[in-house]
Amino acid sequence: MEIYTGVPVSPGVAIGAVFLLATEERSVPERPIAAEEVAGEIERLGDALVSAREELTDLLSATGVENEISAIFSTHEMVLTDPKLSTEVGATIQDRLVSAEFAVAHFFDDLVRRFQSVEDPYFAQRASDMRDIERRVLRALMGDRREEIAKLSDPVVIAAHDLLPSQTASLDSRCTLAFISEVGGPTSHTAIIARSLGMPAVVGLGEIMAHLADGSLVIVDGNRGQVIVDPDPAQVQRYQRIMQGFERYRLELARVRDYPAETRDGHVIRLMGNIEVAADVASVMDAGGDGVGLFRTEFLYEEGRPPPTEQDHVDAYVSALRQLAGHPLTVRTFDFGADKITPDADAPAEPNPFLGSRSLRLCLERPGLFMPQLRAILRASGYGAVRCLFPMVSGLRDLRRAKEMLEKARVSLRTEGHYVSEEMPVGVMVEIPSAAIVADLLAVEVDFLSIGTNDLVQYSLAVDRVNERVAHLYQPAHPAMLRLVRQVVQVGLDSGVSVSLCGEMAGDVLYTILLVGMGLRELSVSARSIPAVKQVIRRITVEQSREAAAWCATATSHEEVLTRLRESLGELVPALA
Amino acid sequence: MRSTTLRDDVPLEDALDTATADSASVEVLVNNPHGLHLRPATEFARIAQATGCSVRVRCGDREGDGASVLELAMMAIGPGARLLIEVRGPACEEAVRELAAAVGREFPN
Repeated sequence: MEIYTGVPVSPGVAIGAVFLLATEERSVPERPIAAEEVAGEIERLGDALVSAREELTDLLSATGVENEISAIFSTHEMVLTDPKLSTEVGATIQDRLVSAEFAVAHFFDDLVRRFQSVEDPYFAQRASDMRDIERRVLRALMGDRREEIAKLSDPVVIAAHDLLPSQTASLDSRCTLAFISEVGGPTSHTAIIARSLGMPAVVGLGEIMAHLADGSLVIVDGNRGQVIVDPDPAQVQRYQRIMQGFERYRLELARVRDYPAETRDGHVIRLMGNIEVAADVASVMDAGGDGVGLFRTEFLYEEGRPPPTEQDHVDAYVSALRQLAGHPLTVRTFDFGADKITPDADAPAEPNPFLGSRSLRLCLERPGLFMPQLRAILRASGYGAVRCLFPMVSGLRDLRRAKEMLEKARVSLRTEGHYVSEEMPVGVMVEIPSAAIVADLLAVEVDFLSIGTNDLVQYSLAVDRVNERVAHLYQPAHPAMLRLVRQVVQVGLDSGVSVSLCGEMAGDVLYTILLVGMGLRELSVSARSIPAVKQVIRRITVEQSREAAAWCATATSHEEVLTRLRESLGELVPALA
Repeated sequence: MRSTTLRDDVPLEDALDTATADSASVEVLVNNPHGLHLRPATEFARIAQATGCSVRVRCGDREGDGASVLELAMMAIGPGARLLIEVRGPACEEAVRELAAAVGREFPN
């Protein structure tokens, strides 16, 4: 039994046979096979050589005339049909008991080494021809492996160095149990694919492929980020119980969608969804959301396309409103720049874009860009419960300038004869520390405050969360963060202005009890997170959450807070323990 | 079996020598500017395969199957190398002549 630890990127637990998926982008790991698999591997090799040759024949006939390119393909074809290739690779499979992929890679590595040892540079350059032929054969081998997966009777755990987008075509939930990969983080392809399929996944495991054979029994713990290779029977039994618990948890989540996000003692939390395009509303409503707490409108911009017109905006907002059936739609004005989409790629590069002219600052500089959006938001307010949200506000000055422009838009629309709602709520994102500190001043002039934790953590702790070197310092439960959030919530209570919280922290069930305990009554999360957050809400009392929050407020570090929250979550949802 | 050296200035017919009815050999000077690299080796192997004879090539202490482009390429036969071509099989005389001409020929690159 061997335990490997990586990064958990998709929750759940799976026990099953592993299926190794090699990738053509790197050298193929040495994968041992059993003696009785030799014949099968040699057959796979033969098939791969044939299909690689057919591919070349097709390429040759496509080029038509004889030229330099057809001469190259013709050479490659000759190599593929050379009996020496199949004999030597076959012998490696048989003598060393390795996979066809490894034997092929070994053969070409050796060949390339010999070519490179010749002094004539012309010979050395032919190494690239060999690599090209090698890639073609490996592709044929792996391609047939992808088909094999689809043919497997029992689903498997897919193991790869990193899954490539092209490798995912034939992977679906019927043939896969879980994913594990050697590299990658929460945003790697493997992670994205696993989450979209709802399968457990652990990435960043390091060199695990070499320690796995096809069919090895593994346990994938996507909650803790562990992979157990060749587990003993006691471990298997333990994890079978955990899996049953997780399966029940899944079913509970499916049921919870039709119930309100209400605590056991009757406090209702408004649980809303974040969307990027109008079509996302459907998944928010399907998940049992109470409206849209954040419409990220910068996605209306598409690279290389003309900017959206006022009518494009109106269409998007009205389409979202129709699907929302009376629930609110919170439209955040363009939040361009820094790590996000930017409207003018030609703009001079800023040395520190996160502290530069981004988001609302850019919009205020560019009325031509901002006005059509403001007009569209106002026009859409005639069709449903629209709320207008300004991002990147640092204090009253920004807010007032934005509101002045909104007022201008209102006046011009009215003179044009449009119906414009007088009551459209206006709010600001609290994501710059200064805005949190002067939240009381802002509250006088807005209808709601929305705490954006992603940027608020980044700006408060001075940590770029996409920078891997400092990512561990990105701590949403840092005592400073908790104080800022509490302060903003208190402003809301004192002034009667509603306060919501969006950002990844809101969608992570670990923090739910803390956020409710700090007094938040409105959260906006991704559609995917709605059921899990709602379930936690339905299992707590406000009294209990206040105790947890009070305890966390006395904690001196992020780690202490997390330890306490993990304990609470384990008690509330044993499947996630 | 005796061998002869094929030179550019000596007519092929004179350089060729066959010892028995079903085997023939010739030693040639590789005059291709880059030696027997992948493409000329492909050409050579193709001809060797087409002859239906067994073709062995020797170059110094290296030896290989003339019908295998990989073996030829791995011998790393550079320009100016002396190459011994041995052919066994029917019509081996014609085969050895064709093969010799192939290595002596200038290959476009």
